[in-house]
Amino acid sequence: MVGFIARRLLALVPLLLLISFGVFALVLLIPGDPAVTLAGGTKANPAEIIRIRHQLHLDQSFLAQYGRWLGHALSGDLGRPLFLRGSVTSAIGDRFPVTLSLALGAVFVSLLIGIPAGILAGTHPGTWLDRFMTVGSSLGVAVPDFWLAMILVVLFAVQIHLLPSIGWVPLHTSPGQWLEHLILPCIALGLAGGATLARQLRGSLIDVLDQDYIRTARAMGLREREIISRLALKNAAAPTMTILGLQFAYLLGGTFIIEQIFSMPGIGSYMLQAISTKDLPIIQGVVLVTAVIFVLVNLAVDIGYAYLNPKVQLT
Amino acid sequence: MKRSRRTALIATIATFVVAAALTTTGADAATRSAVNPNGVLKYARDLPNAFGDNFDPATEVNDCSYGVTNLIFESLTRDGSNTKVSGGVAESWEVDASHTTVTMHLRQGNVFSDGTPVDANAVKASILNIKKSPLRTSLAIITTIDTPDPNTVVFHLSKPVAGDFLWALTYIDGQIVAPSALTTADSKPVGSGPFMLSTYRPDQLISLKKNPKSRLASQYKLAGVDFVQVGSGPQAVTALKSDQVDMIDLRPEDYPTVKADPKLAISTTPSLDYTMIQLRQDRAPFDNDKVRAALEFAVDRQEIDRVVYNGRNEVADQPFPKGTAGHDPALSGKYSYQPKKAKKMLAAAGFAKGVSFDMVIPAGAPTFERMAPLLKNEMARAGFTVNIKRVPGGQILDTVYLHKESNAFLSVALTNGPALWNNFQSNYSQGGFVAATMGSRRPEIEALVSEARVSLDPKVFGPPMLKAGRLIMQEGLEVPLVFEQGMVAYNKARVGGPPKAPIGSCRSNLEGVFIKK
Repeated sequence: MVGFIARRLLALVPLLLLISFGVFALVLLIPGDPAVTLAGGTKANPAEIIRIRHQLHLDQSFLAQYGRWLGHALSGDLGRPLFLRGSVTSAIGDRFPVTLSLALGAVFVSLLIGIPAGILAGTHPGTWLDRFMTVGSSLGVAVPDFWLAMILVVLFAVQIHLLPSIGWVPLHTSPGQWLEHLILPCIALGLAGGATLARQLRGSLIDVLDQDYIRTARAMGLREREIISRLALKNAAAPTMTILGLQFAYLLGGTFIIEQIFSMPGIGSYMLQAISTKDLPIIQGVVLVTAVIFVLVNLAVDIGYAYLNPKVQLT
Repeated sequence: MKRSRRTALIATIATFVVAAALTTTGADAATRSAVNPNGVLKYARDLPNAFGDNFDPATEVNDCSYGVTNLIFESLTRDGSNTKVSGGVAESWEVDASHTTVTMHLRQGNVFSDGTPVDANAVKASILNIKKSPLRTSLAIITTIDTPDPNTVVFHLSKPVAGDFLWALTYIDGQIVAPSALTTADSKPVGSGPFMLSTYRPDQLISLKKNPKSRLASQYKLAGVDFVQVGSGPQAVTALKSDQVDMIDLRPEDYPTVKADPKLAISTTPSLDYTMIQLRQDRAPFDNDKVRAALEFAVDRQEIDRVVYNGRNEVADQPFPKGTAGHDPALSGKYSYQPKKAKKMLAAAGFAKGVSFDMVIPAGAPTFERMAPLLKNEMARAGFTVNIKRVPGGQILDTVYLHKESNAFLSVALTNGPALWNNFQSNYSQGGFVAATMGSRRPEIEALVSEARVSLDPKVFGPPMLKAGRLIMQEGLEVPLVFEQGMVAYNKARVGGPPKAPIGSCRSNLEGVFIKK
């Protein structure tokens, strides 16, 4: 297992370097010159533009700019935003708890919906319960999260004034309000994940429950509840965990629409703001951090998968 | 007989005066009894876009920050009206005959929130600090500043543009920062405005509390203002309807939704801002003045107002609305929608088969998204084939101006305040960014702008602006469409005053607004 983890970690080095290069290069494709905006946009003075370009090192070669940026990034310094105060690293640090709370909350909602629904459907294949779950999960996958978010806001915030429609309260300020502000966005984000999880678990369970060793366990007189919880679920969990891991990683970088709808100051809204102003250090920093987290979550999923299925360690 | 009549007249007038005084006093008392002295207004604002994460007028790069910072810093002069500038930190001023020297008399006894006096030295230090910003171009014309006594500041200007200067001083350019905060105002602003910064959480909340030392404290009835992060548009309306905020800036497309809700009210203020089409005039087809002139008859301004602005705005068939010194009554109705006439004009210009062009609109901006198809259809009937190109807001500067893509750009001319010419400098003058990139420089308009910007006296700037307006319409230098009025929506049960909408975008007007008991 240790060798497997070491091999995976080693493979990450060139991957992360490639990602960092891609991130830096991609940003250069974005049209426009931030120096013009900083110099006053439509009021810009050409001499001022040149001065600002020099100050931001935008007049250096691509590789020189990349080398400089990578050197700083490796030491945890993602630069300073062009139009905002503070450092990109600290801004991402400030906003990360919002996005992390959303992602964890959404995964919790997914588990809350997906696991019972998947077990019920997988253990009762072909019944009305299975068909109901299948239709429900299809609907869950099909409903866009932003649409669901708007419906939830109209119902729970505008109509019955039960939950807030906007904002964010840090956990340490008020745990109750933190939870209150997370309920609607997490339901909106987590429903589709729950539906996917339910479908995946249903399929895996049906496959596993059809295996010879399950029949043997039944023949030996093991109770159905024990068969499902101790044998079938463990084996069906591996592919489900992969789905869950990917969902979590996706959510860490894909909550920006929900953040916008609920006016939450997460990484997604920070990124959107940066794109609209072409604030290159922020775009580079957020994409790099998101990519690294994505890679690390995938690594964790791989390790978990290897733990559940030791055959994987050989590949 | 005559004496008794006079006595009766005097008695009647006296009765009216006393009654009026009593009514006013009664109204004031009613307002006072309705005011919650601890009331904090929750005002929705799209902070990532409308606030530049910086309170310092010397370094901030987002002009919309003014909507927040004008409550912390007083400016030297004050806006609040589209027709005149009133006193701010400066109580009064004189301009010399050459329009190059402005002598300002400061209010006596005025102090910053840290208790230090707002005197001539403080004003000079603050203005010189702001002058360093490349964005504050209006201050570049200051050659020297004299402070002959603690209450007098004399600005010497390199050009005769006193009118321009006085208007610019109402804005960020004229905000006075306390000497103690000149280097820290980005995060710890200290001014003499009615409020002080209490809490700031980037992209979430800007919380202001009353500045008891401000001379304006009695005019502002709120104990504080919380600018709460809410995206503009539907999110803001939802936040208002769900009682998360008390007041929002209202967009035309959200007007019907808010209007239909009995617990909400809308306040509007006429504005000089107008939606318009900018034309690229250094290449075909708009290098031809006859084609441009035809385009003025190819848009149905009434229809655009009806469909896009709920029929509530004044159509812009010239650059200045009614009631302003530059408005020409002779132009009203002259540029109505006449597609047949436009076609004939095109044919006379040698384009019998019509003209085709690209027009950029800001992508995803609902007002423009609603307006674009209307314009396309209206113009099609007049012989113009328009290809709408959507460009994200952040890329417009590059796409339209620097890379010179497209022949036309649907935009808004932000012309609030009495300085009617403030767009024309960029659009038609030498060195103007738009003039240079859109090929729209017009020396004759430049001359009229120079004539106007010497003073804020309508008698001085009115006649040249009137001529400029006529010229613009005759030559089709731009296509004005509709004057966009300022609108705020608020919760009637919570907010009193009533609030007045600001005179232009990125401004705010909270004087007299209060939270009800």
